Amino acid sequence: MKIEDELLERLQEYSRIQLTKQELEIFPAEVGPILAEMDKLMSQKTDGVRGMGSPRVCFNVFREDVVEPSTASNAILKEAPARQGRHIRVPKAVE
Amino acid sequence: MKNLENLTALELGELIRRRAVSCEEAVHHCLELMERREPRLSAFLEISREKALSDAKEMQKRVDAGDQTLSPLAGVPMALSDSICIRDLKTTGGSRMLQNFHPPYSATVWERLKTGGAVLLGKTALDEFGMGVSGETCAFGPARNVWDNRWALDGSVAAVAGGEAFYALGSDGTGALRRSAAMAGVSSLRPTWGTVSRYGVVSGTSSLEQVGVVGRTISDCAQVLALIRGRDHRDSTTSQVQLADERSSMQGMKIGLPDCYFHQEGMDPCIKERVLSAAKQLEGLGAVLFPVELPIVDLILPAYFAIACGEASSNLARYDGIRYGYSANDVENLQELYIQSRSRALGNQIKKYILLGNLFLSEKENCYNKALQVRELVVQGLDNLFDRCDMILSPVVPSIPLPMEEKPSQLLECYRQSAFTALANLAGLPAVTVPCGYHSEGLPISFQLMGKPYGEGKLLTVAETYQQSIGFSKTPGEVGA
Amino acid sequence: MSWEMVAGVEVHVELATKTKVFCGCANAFGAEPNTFICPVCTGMPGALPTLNRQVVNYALRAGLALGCDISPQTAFDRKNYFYPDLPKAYQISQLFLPICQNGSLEIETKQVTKQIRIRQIHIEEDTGKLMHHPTQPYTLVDFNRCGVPLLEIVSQPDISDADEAIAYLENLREILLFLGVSDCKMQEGSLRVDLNVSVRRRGSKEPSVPTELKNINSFQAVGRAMRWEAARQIQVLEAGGKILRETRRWDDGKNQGVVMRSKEEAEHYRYMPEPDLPVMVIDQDWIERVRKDLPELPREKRIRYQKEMGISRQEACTLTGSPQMAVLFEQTAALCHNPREAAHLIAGEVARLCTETATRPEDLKVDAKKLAALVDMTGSGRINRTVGKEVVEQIFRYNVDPETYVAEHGLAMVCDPDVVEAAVRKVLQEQAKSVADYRNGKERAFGYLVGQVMKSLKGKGDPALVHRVLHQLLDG
Repeated sequence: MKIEDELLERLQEYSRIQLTKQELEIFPAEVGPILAEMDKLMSQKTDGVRGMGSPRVCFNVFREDVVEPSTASNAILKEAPARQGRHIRVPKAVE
Repeated sequence: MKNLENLTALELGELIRRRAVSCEEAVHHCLELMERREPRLSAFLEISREKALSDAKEMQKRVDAGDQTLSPLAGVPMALSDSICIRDLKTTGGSRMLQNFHPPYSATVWERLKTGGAVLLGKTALDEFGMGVSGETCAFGPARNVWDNRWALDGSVAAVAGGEAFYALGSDGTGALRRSAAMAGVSSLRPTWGTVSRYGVVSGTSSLEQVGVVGRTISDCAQVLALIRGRDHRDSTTSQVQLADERSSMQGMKIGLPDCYFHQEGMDPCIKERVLSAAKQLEGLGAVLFPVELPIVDLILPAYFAIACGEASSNLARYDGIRYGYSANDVENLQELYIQSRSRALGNQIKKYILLGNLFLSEKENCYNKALQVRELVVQGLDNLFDRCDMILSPVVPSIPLPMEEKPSQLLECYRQSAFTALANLAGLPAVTVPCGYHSEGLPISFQLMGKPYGEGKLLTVAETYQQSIGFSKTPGEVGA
Repeated sequence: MSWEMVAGVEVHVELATKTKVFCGCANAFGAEPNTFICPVCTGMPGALPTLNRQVVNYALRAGLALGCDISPQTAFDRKNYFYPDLPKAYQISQLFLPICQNGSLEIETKQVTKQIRIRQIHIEEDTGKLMHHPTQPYTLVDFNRCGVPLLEIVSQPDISDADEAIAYLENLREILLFLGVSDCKMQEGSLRVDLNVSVRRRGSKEPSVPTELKNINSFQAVGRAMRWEAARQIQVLEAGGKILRETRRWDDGKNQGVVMRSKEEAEHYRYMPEPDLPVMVIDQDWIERVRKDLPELPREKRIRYQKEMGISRQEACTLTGSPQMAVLFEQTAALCHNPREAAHLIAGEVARLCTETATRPEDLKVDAKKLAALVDMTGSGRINRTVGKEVVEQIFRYNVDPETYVAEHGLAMVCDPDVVEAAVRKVLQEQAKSVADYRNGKERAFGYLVGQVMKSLKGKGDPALVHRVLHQLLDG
């Protein structure tokens, strides 16, 4: 696995992160050894193994359908960087 | 003022209960040490001086009234990693992204400690979102090792090692808590995944993360665990299963030594020697030691790392400048808001984890998925392994990491230094780290015991027996702090 | 060259649970912005989802009613992408192991009766609501809706024309309403429809490229959108072009679909299993419990009404127009002596009154006991049908007691033969011209005379008796 420019461009887009020029230059080389390890990982045979999203699978943990009053709503709004009344405001997406 | 410096948390708790020491005295003791040592240690991001004193006063009233609901650690001053939310108190997760964040909720672990009578001294530094070698990537400056301040530490560990707090809670998402504890000569306990609530814990990872305890002794850690563990309705991954934490007998305790760990390339001979020596001592105390093979041992580290990056890229995507946290206010459209807020406020290292995570999740050959499959194979293999032995003994780190300023790549360093800590993250195993000596270069060394899920009891048996038998340096005062 | 349509429908249904799917915030409509929110549904650091059991129950209800297989193990996954209405920057959904699969729904159009297969049903969380300012460059976000439970019901591409699509949607909506899992209101957004439309040459088995159509806001718009898109694709293909995989936004006002984004450029969702939530294991016991509690479905009711109660198909359809109407009918029928009369009354008068007063089905509050009493009063001849209509309106609007009302207003039917005879004689005297008309063969004059007699009896005459006496005196 290697990181070409185009791939790095896409990764930054998925991440909504823009690396600086210096960071862009060193990144592929820096992660090279790690990617080599990932190649090793990919070579492991895992047919028929579904995979575990967590170290232990928990089953059937439910919450009952009873309302818990939203007492934190004002405190949550206070943390918002931009508001209009009780709405949170964001710049428009460019269509 | 009494010199409380040589006491363990349990010992201090007992003195407070017997009213030989007051809660306020205990807090004053800590605050005074913090004033002297913080300039060198920088363990704390926030010190709650007034609140600690007023909480101590309140606690004293309850002690005086003979309140039976108080825990054995009531009134003992402690520290909390800044990954752990406290309602209305600044909680940063070690990141500039949250530098002014005040959560309107508290983590369950804090609420339980508070109920038991904990007195908070302040919030400690940590790797940004808990992802780093041992504290270096804290956006507000790392905590330093009391033994040699060229080395960074997780702030919870630094506070306990520096004698500033009697115990602390920290985040062990990538093993930084255990690695720091090992390098600072204090004990740590990482519980079985799913036994301690993650609600209100700011972390880059989910399935690798568990809140851990740092203390001067394993017994201290165990007592704290008893206060914080158990089913939490706010965290669906916490279990109904009762922890098997009763102590048993050391006699015949079967301890496996993974050959590959001790013989791997780059294993520091001094660390190896000290750990094997500790193993010998355990034998002398009644344990039975023999070599074991870990399942798919070469892939434990890459699998853990792929999961760490993958989960981080997803868990940290919520930091977008919209509902809370740092928000770039000089942008003209939505995409720029995302990009500028994240690029400016997230640290260098965490960005790399995120980029890699998105790579592992999106590549046609999906490393993340492969890692989940390897995890399943490892967990199955461990089931077999723990039929043959009660626990695994290993070093905590393969080598003393480079001092902070000399590190060429945090990312690679974190990868390599996770060699022995990764298994507990990947398979959700309980683990303890126990100081067992010093490196020729002066830094402390610890060994690690990993047990089967819910097998904390046996780990504690061995660790406590060892600590009681050898005695150990409790005071950072000896280090001329 | 003849073409055929190959289409599928994706429906998102908001479930009518009391709380959201992953937190205890109220699942409510129309409140002040950002009032039903908490750290979980606003994606705050360290917040974790907790699964609402009732959501799973409702999903099982829908799955069983639609003939699906229930997955014995089902789990949640994360769909990762950035958008302001998605606080965690991932939506918790089900990709790998959806809860229900392989169901079907029978539909009937003028042309055809067929099964539309349902590929799967899965659970996911809804997003917040965005309000784009029309002129200023900003958007307002409200998270009240964020975390509301959704069922996504995906059909196979078995639909061949717009009528089938509408029939499918109407049947689906009816079933979900009667199951009580959603109020299925497109105008309020609790039922949302996306279409996947493609065309191919008739008889060809080649796969065709579907276009996704979003922003369909009514069943009629479904028809318009499908026809427009099919025509567009045929035009492109006949000119030798290729259909691109696209998503189009349907503009009903302009009757056209506008390209939103090409699927090639679509955000890569980087699906991963959700580590913070448990796996659901659904055993036979659980399935049987849900199955046992399944209410009778509207189709079954209509069949039963017709077969067992002799009610007309038309009336059966009206009576199953809403769950509340069906309940009212069944309760009334159980309490009275004449279910067919009850059907007439409710399908006729009550339905009409609902329309006149614009009463929503969920606001229908008519006392079945009173209706039943009214039915029996008419049936036993204590009042006539005309009076019955008046009384039912009074019950509907003012909840009057029929016995009391009839007594207070002296509406009991007049069936004293002497009184009726006297009235008839009087009318015959006064209406000499009509009498003459009738005797000259104008049948309609009889009806007019009946009307006049009823008028003089203030509408309370026993119609049968009036008819009989009139005939006697006219013909005899």
